[in-house]
Amino acid sequence: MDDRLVDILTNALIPFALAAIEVTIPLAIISFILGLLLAFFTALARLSANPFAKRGAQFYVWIIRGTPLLVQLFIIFYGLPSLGITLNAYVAAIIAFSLSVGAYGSEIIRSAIESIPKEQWEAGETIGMTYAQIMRRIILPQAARVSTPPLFSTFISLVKDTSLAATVTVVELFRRAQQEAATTYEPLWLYIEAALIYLLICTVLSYYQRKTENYFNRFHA
Amino acid sequence: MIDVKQLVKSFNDKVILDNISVQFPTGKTTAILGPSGSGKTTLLRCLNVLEMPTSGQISFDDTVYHFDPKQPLSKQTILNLRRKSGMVFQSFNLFPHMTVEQNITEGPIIVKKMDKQLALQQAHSLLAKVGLLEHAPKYPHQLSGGQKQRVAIARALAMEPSVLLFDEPTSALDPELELEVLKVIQSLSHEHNTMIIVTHNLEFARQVADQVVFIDAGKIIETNTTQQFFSAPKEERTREFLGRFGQLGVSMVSVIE
Ligand SMILES: Nc1ncnc2c1ncn2[C@@H]1O[C@H](COP(=O)(O)OP(=O)(O)OP(=O)(O)O)[C@@H](O)[C@H]1O
Ligand SMILES: [Mg+2]
Repeated sequence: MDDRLVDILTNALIPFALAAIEVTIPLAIISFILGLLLAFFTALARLSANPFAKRGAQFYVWIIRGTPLLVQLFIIFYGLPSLGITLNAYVAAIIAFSLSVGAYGSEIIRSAIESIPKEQWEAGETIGMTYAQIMRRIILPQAARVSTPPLFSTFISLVKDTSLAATVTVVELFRRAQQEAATTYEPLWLYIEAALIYLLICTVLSYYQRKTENYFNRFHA
Repeated sequence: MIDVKQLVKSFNDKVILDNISVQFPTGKTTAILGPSGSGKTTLLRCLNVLEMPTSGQISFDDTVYHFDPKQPLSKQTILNLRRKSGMVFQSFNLFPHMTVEQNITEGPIIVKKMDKQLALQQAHSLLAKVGLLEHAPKYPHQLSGGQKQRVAIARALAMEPSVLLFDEPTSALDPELELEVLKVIQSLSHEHNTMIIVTHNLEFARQVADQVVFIDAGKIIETNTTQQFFSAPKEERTREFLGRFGQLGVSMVSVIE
């Protein structure tokens, strides 16, 4: 590596870090939290006896999982204005990402709830607990443990998927790398530098995944 | 007293409990015996409405519950009925994410809205009773099967039910762990708790029960005092069943010294 390249990469470090801290990470965290809430209620709707709730949840999951995230993002940002709905690029990205996490996450949460043995429900019933009490106190804490690894996988995927927001004018980490590459003509090393920052964020998440799993494992053989 | 009258339970039109009428006296221990698949578990689960009886009636003292598919009981009625009995399962079914003492205080705090400190005190005295006080802060996976089952018994007792239901409480245990659980059940019997125990352990039934109910193919064949049931059974079918287990009282060593 020559001096010029070292300079370019060093100079890019600050703007890349800022783009990650100011845009990529908040985008991922906000979308994940909103998506998780959506996922939770969608899972409950899927499991409910109410046919409308059940069907509605199934329909939503079917649409979101069956179409590309990039296309959904374009529909929301470039498509909706023709219906008179113009959204800020950040807002459009958060909506698209949250809907995606909501759909995939709901399947994770639903199957985690269903994986808890029916004997746990019965044990709660025999001490007189209601459905809501059993769900909240007995089933969900155990389902949380089961769903921790796949939900973290969803979170990690989301961090990388935020790079799609570049296509709707959000200047996040990847868009910033594109800009630097265009002015310096060093795409190889600049994109590798950006990739390493994504890798760093995801490594931190993996670390928290392990910590969370250890926390839940305290009550498991 | 628990009075069961003409109780019927069918699964998809297959009759599993066929017109069961039986009484379980207050303060007494009843053993339910019968071959595999005869409906013993189903009867216990109907008493606790884990299974909804198809028809018939169950009375707990003065409160009568009628079962009729055309007039299903309200959720609240089912909860009230269920709170009259405590169930001890073959597979313990402790809550794995809660400590031993949390397992026991859960019902009193959440269902009965008992004060937390009071519930904890109660849990500790129940744990002392089943000989597990020092295990209060442990998680279920840190206990042996026999210890788990004793916690499950304490959990059921904590709700102060009118009747304790046991479904083969020691079938999942090694013989050396079985004894410690049987002793706890026997001491509860001596304290005049009302109990109904499904068991395959005839010797234990003989020692702990005041009354024996023998079920075969969903029908009650014989209800008798324990003494009479084992020494002079009324029914030919009962003699056949007992005969298969050898001469009782002669060849069987005492389970509990
Ligand atoms: N949920 C169910 N759906 C359909 N059939 C059932 C159900 N539960 C039990 N049965 C049937 O009811 C009959 C009685 O079962 P039950 O479990 O009450 O017998 P049991 O006397 O407890 O037998 P065991 O000694 O083997 O535990 C069996 O033929 C069983 O297959
Ligand atoms: Mg059974």
